[in-house]
Amino acid sequence: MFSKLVLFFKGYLIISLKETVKERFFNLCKAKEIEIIDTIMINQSIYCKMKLKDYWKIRPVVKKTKCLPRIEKKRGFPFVCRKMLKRKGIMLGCFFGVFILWQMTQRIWYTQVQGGFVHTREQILTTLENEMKIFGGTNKYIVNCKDIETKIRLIYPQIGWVSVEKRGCNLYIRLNESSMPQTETGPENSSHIIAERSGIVKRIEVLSGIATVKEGDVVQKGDLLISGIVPVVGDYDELIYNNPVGAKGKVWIETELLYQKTGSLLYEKKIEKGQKTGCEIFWDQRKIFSYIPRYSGVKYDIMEYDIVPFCFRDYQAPLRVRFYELTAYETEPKQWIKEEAKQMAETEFSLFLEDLKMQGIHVMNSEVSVECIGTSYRLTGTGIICGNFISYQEIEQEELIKQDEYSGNHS
Amino acid sequence: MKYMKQTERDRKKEYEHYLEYECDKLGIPKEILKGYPTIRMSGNHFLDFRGDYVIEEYTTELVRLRTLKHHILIQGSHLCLAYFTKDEIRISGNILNISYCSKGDC
Repeated sequence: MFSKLVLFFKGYLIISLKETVKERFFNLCKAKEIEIIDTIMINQSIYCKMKLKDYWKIRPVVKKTKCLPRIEKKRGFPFVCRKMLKRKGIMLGCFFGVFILWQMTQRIWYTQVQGGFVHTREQILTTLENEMKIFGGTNKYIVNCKDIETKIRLIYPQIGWVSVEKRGCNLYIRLNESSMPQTETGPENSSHIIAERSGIVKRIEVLSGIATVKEGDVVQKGDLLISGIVPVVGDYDELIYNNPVGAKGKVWIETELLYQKTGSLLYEKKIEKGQKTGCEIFWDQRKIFSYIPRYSGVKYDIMEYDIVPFCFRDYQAPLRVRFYELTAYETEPKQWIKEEAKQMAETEFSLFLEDLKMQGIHVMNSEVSVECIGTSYRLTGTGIICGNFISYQEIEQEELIKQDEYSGNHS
Repeated sequence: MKYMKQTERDRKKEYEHYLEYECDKLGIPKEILKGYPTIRMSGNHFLDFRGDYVIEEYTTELVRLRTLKHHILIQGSHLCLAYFTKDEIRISGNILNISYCSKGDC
């Protein structure tokens, strides 16, 4: 197989000979070290293959045998090249194809992250992209594995060990996290759970300690909800001792919400005066073209956005185009009218309520009102909310010494 | 003259004895040092011949090679010369018969 490839690469001819002189021809070629391959006889004619360079050596053989072999076919790379030279488009296309393939093999296309539990693959990839400018399509030679290891360890102190390896067009990152995620716990010392807000207890779940309130009870701020003192009682219901524990649990309290905020009705309105666009072109993080117009003596905003052609999820082409939009403006002092102020206040209050919902607090009724005084406004938001409003209080030593009527019996 | 021919014969014999002795000592086949041609076959489809030879006749049914001492006749069907060089020739096809004959007989 290999010899056939070599033969094709060097080029060969299929020749035909007269039957009468074939033996003499073969013997003379043998003596001149001219190689003849695959000799066959078909219908009284001899066909054989001869290397291209050997064909130029058969002149003395032809003179002696008085037989010029006839070239039936020309095969091989030299003949293909000659044909291709007439078709320059194909040659250029092949050349560019090979060039693109070579360029593609110089880049990292896929990053594998193993061993991360707290730190996910997406997190590590985002860090690589933002901090180290490494993403799918980065040049392999820019990627320094030791630098990446050092930076990941600095950015994420919880990662005890990290290994980065380049293999082919892939980057393999292995992590070993030194601290696993811990479950939610309260204070380490023994403590009570007290109410953070006044309201009505809607639901109570006790994991550790003794509940001192039940559903429907009205509590004030600071009231004891779950006690951290668990009395250890004997067989005859006598108190042996008070065992302090860290109270754990959840208490949902329904309470009133009061939200107040003041602000100014004055603002500066931007009036656009003109717009310019510019662009920069990057290849492999190197700037190859830049045009950013400027304004002089006028205020302007710059907005930039990148366009990067994506082929796969983890691939970014080395070509990146960044567009700039410059908007010149003038400011004009203005004042919100009451309707606008009310709309703004409602939007602000709804965002505040969204925040509460994200924290797990249930909002039942809500109202918002706006009061305009001169050039300022006062936003007042009210409502009813229900959430786990608890805080922890350490148990004091005096509480542990508390005794019942039987405690004096033991010495 | 007779004396000179005799000494030549003795010298040749002595040389052959010496070559055989060296072959035994080195553990290599005698044919290599003595320059005998070798034939190697793979089934009845390929035949490799190594040694000094001249192609006397070639057809699809018969290939005749001439060596220093013998003629080698290879008979069969669809015979082709796969390649041949100064010292080596490969014959492929359906080989049915290989025979040796001395120079006078063939």
